[in-house]
Parts: sequence; C-alpha cells; structure tokens
Amino acid sequence: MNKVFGVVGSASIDIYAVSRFFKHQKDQDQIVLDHNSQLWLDDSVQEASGAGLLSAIVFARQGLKTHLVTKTGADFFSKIINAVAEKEAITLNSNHESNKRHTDTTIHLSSGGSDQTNLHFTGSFTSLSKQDCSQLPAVLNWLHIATLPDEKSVLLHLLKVAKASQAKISINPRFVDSIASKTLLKTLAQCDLVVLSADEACILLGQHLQLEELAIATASLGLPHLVIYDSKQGAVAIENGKIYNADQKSHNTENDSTGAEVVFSAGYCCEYAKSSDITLALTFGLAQAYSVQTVAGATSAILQKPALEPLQVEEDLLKEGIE
Amino acid sequence: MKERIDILAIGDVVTDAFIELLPAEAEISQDRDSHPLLCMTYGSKIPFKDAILINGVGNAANAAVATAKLGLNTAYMADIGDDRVGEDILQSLHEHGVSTEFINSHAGFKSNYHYVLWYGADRTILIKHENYPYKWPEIRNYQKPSWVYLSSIGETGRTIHDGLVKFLEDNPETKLSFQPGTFQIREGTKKLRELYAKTTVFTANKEEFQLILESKSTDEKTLITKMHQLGPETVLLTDGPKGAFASDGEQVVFMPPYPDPKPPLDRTGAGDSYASTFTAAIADGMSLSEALAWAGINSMSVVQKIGAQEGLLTKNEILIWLKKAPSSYVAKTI
Repeated sequence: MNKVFGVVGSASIDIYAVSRFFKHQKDQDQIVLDHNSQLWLDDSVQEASGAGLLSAIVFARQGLKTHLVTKTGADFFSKIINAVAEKEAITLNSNHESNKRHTDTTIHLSSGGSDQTNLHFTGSFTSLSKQDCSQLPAVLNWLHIATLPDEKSVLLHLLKVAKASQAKISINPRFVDSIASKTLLKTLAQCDLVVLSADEACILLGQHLQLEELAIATASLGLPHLVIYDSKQGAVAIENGKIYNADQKSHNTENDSTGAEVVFSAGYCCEYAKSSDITLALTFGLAQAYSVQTVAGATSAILQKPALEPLQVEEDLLKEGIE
Repeated sequence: MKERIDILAIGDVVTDAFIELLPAEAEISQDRDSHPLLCMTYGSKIPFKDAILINGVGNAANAAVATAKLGLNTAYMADIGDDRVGEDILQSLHEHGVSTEFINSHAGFKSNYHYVLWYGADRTILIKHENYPYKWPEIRNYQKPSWVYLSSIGETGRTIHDGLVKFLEDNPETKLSFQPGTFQIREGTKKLRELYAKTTVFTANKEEFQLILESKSTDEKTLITKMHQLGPETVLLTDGPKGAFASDGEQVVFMPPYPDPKPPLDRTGAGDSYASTFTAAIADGMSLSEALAWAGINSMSVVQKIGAQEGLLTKNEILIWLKKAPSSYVAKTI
C-alpha cells in the first residue's frame, strides 16, 4: 500500500521585480525609488513558494501521496497556490483560505543579479489553528513539519495528531531564534528526524563550530537522528551515533540559495522515509538543493523521480565513519 | 436593438497589487530637484502591512468605470492575456457595467500587472506591460461610439493610434478625448500629431504638459495656449491639490479643489477620475465651469478610498456633494 505523507508549512507567493530604476544609495545603504512615479520593470515573475508548498512538491514529485496543511488568504494569490497544488497532485486542507488575511507574500526587489531588498508580508500561515491540523488524513505514515506554527499549542496538537496515527515525524524548524532554545529542544526531541541549518544549530548551541563538530554537539542534546545542512559545505547526518558526511557540489557562479535548505530537508526526509538509507537520502537531498540554486525561485527546479533515480552515491563525496 | 455606445475607452488594463508599507520601514527624502524619493534599507527583509489586489484598473479602465457609473453607455477596448488575471479583469469590468465586447484576449500572453508601493497617501508604481500584438478591430455601424476616450497604451500600441486616426477620419461625428499615458507622452507631439489634431478634449497634469510640449514654462495659460495650437478644442490642465484649469480656446477657467472631508487615503486615480468626469460632463453638454465642478467632486471622492475605482460616484451622488459645496468651490475665469 502507498504510504501517506503529510506536510505542514507555509504556502506563499514570491514576486521577483527587476528594474534598472532601483538605485543603491551607498552612503546611506538604502534602496531608493522615485516616489509618486511609475517605474518600469525589466522583468517580473510571480511564483508560488513557501516552505510547506516546496516541501510538499518535493514529496509529490517522487510519486508520493501528499497532503499539505497550510493557511492562505482568500485572494488571487491563493488561487495561484491552489493551481500549483492541483498540478502537483497535492491535497490541500479544505479550510486553508482565510477571508481575514492576505496570502503570505515576498517581493524581491532587484536591479539584476541577487536581491537588493525583500518586502515581505507574513500573516496567513501564522493563523494556523488546531482545527486546521486536524485535517491531516486519519491514516498517516509520515509527517514533515516545514514551518513551525506560531502557537506552541498548535505545534503540540500537531505532534499529538501524528502520534495518534503512529506516523513518523520529521521537522525542519528554521527561524530557531524566534522560539526559546529549551522549548524548541523539547519539541525537537519528540521528532524522529530533525534537519537544521548550520546557522540554526549554532544559535541552538550558542557557539560556532565546524560542521561535523556542530552536528555531534547538537545531536548530544538528545536528538537521535539529526542532519545539519550548509548551502556551501554540504551536510552531516548523525543517526544513533553514526556519522555521515556529504559535500555540496559547488556552483561556478554566485547563486540564489532561496529554498535550498527547505528542499534539501524535504528531499532527505522523503528518501529516508522511503528507503531508510541515509547515504541515499543525503545524495538526493543535496541534489535537490543544488538544483534549486541554479534558478531564481525554487519550484521549477525541484527534481522529479526520474531525474534522481540515476544518481549514484559518489564515494569520494561520502565518508562514512566515526561512531 | 442595442443602445448606441456613448463612450468607448481605449487603453491598457492592469491588475494593481497595493503593497502597504509600514511607516517605520521606509522614509521619504528628496533629490536635488526636490522630487520625492522612497528609501528603504538595502539588502534587508522589510515587513509590509498589507496587500490589496484590485482588478481591471489603468487610466482608460478607470475612465470606463467612471463614465459607466455616471450612467453613460460605456464600452472598453483593451488587450489581456488568457490567464486567470485576465478572467478576473473581465469579471470586474462586467460588474461595473462596462461592455467588454472590444477586449482582445491573447493566447500565451500574461495580463498586465502593477505593484503599487503605497507609503502615506502617495505611491510608487512598478510597471510591467506585455507587448501584445495590438490590432484595431472592426467597428460595426451599431457599435460606433459618440466619444472615444484614449489613454495609456504600451510601447507597441502604434497600431491602435493609427487605427483610431483612420476611424476618426471616416467617422467625423465621433469625438476624441485624449489623456496620454507614459509612452504616449514620450512619443511627443510630432509622432502623434494627427491624434492631437483630431482631439476634442485634451487632459493632462501640469508636469505632463511640460513634458509633452517640451516647455519649462510654469504658466498654465501659456501651456494651455500651446496645447490648443496642436489641435484640441477643449483643454484641461490639472495641478494636483492646487486645482485645475480648463479652456475652450476663448476663456480659461480655474477651479479650486473640492475640500477633502477627511485626509486623502490614497491618491491613485485622482487624475483619471478628474479627466474622465470632465469629459463625461462636456459630452453631456455642460459648460467648462460645470464640468470642472463635477470632476473635482469625483476626484475628491476617489482619494478617500483605496484604489482608483472604489470611490467613484454616480450622477446623483455628485449632485448631493454639489449641493453641500462650500461657497469657495466656484470656478473663476482668469
């Protein structure tokens, strides 16, 4: 029987607005736009995004039955998200649209190259309630938490729902600085698999360490299966004391790392949920992260199952060892 | 039998996404020429307060909705993409009672979308227009309008200008009201000389007059006189909160603004409502003074609401405001 995967996380819209008329006033370190005027955009792209939606796409593109629990506004941007979910065969919770809020949105202002300034609106996912979480399917094999709910009680309810279904739980909390370390660690310890970025692990530990040392120190806080990801260096996984290293294949040019951690995390969890093979999970997770760094916006670059299948574990990249 | 079209509005239609910036997250400074600049911290993540989407706007679309609301039988000619934004635009125009029989949907194209960075009562509009393969449509006898209201069209809209000039030559009973948009202003008076020559009512703000006429003059009468020389019979020059001037070539009339009942919320569409209401009033046979009085009221109402269309008034609502107008709200011949 096909496994059922649930993802909880934000679904948002990324708008990329590129214009040569955005000026960088270096002495004030400001982006400056003529006010009360019309500025022509050289390029403008709208893309559905958000950690929840991107993670769900990673799962769905591997042919897995995927449910996404999220919260958007009842607006045009939500229609874009609905269309993407439909195209990817992702089931959305029926009450995800709220009349009271606008869909979470980020506007990336740039004069070409990397972003200069991002304008972002966060309001819809923060309203996720216990009632929304109860819309996860009754039979659930795996729950992936891609964005932490704002309310602690909602997060605890989510864990309760997953445990009632005897589902395994993976979590990529991100923004760990917005929650007290002790509280967060308590929650992470209840999860079967935790993925953190190197920066987040440093915040949790309160010190800067090399990637592998960081993973060992963080895992010792009571996390039996931990993965630390760095968009430039790669990833280190620790499961029951066994350490796995994998380097991130480097790009020749400067790339947009938006969404890389999210798709790495989902790619890793997805493969691990399927095969319990950590080296393969690292390879697939890093392949997804590498792919999304090649373009602005992540959805188009998330790899399909056929693109991942031929990937072989490269022995020189993976050093299995050390307990 | 179909009713005759009173006004056919022509120009690009867009969807506006209003991004309301938080007061603490941006600031306004001025450049050397005292133009306002919107400044935000570079390389940072800046939260914004809210986002509101408004479908079916743009200079000509706003004019179409304004004249439809004033009771004129209004049709609209524009180009859209065959996407969801386009569907929402059509629905919005239908809801406002505007006929969409001249709207052309292009397969494989996106509909136009603007981002309006809204800070205080003012805004910076980020614009991206699609280069549609514009085509002048066949207009049957029963579709011939009494007036054409032409406004902003994208870079590749010359076909529409040429088609319109030919149409006006063949149908001299149809009058033209012209409120130029950015590209039409940039085109200058030489390239569009035939359009200017066939214009009955011309409307623009003072800065636009200076750009079009390549004149540094700040004297309204001088600018209006120069504009008449290009062809327009009636000329309207708006000067923001200072008021507006109108001329029929014989007299120039000044109208102060209608006092705002509350501080303006958003100035988007103030110029469009002024110009289109003025045109509708002239089309209805009103004098310059009456047309200015109507236009000032509709413009005042528009800036009390978000977006260019929500505050537009019906004929009866304008009459109510006229009745309670202060004694200072009166046109003066200068």
